[in-house]
Amino acid sequence: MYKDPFVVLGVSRDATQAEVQTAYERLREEYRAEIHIEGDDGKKAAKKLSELEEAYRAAMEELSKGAEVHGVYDHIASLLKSKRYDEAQSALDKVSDRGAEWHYYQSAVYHGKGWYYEAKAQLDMAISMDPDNQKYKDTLERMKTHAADPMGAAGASDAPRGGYDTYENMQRNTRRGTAGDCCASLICADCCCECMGGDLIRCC
Amino acid sequence: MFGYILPDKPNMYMKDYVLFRAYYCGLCHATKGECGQVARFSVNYDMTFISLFFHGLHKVNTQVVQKRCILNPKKRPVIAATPLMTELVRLNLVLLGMKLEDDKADGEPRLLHRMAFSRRVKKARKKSPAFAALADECHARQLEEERSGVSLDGAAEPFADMMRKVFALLAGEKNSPEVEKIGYLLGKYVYFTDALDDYDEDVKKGRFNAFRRTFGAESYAALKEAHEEDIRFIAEEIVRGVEEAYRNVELGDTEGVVTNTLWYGLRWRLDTVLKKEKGKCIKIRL
Repeated sequence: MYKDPFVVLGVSRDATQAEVQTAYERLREEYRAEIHIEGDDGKKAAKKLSELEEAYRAAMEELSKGAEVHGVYDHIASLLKSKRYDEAQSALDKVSDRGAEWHYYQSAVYHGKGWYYEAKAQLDMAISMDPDNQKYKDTLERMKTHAADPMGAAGASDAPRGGYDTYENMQRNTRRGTAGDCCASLICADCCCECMGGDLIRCC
Repeated sequence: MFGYILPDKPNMYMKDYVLFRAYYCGLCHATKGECGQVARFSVNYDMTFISLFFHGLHKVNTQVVQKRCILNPKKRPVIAATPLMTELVRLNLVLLGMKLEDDKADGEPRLLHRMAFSRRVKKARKKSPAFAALADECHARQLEEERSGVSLDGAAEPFADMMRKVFALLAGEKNSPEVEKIGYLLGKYVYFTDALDDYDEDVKKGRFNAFRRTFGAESYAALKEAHEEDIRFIAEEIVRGVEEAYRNVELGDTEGVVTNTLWYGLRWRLDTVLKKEKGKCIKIRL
């Protein structure tokens, strides 16, 4: 029968390798003391001891694998921060276990490169694989509202430049579709007239 | 693939409008000087924008002269040719040559165009081998991509990457990751808007269209009906990306026109494509 190694060891899944090590050593001493008792108690202790050995090996293996995977993603995150997308991509390509987190980082790489459609597709994939992950959902929300760096902080907004207000402010302040279109038609007409030698708007 | 990067004229200052026109006319006159009368028909707004951007980036000391045009007897302020502008004239012809090659690969010989331009294109390619090499690379990658590519972004990659390299070349010592990113994203923008604009025609003639490969809609109307949200998402992300990169690029006196184009013009032009309004202004030469 399969027993969760972390339950056997009596530690949580987030335990560090050192914690697993001390729990293992403590239980081993305990069982070793019991093993010499005659009768059923002794047999039980012997069985538990072998279970413990098995659990310890499995837990350590799982933790080191996890640490390795985390190490890869930490590495990729730091590459992304310094905008080295090609290197991040090749690091991602080497990961064989492609879970939700992998798709999340693939999305980040695509977004950095300017492959926006693929970035969204990858993020959608990460969310469908792990629907409860708040980080993914927040990122999608930021991507949909076009934050400059959806994986990081919200982008700063621009100050007016070259005499022009940002697009959002311009939209708010001009009633497009009325004066704008009328003006546009006039300018168009002016272009036309000027081609033919006339002039509708004198100043240009 | 041309005529997608232009200013939003209704929301433009008059001074910027005049400057834009002076650069447009300047490019046209420079084309005449470099490649002859016929080549003047190749002048377009995208190249005018690139000219404005790089004259601003290098803070070139430009001279304004009054010149007459065949289309208009009235003398107008025109930016006198600079070495950078001559470079752009050649780039324009090289790109035009690439477009004609593309059309040929799509089964449209466009004999008249080829006859008119091929000699000039050849000359321009000889004078600017760097641009010619980039255009050839892009053309080859594009054919390869159309044969074996899978993704929407991948389809735009050859052209966008070429624009990145072109921007890097033109920026020279003023180059930065931001300038390259603007070039890359503008290339992407042009590629996508062009693919949207030509959707129905591509379907009819059985030509390659990146959106058709990804979404498979039978007509532009159907594509818009089903995927307008996706398309707007991509476009808005591209424009935001350009804005983000542009934040750290310092320009000289052409800043107004460039800002107007990048902040308003791209969105406005995309809107006309999405609504399938053939913006009347676009058809008219300034």
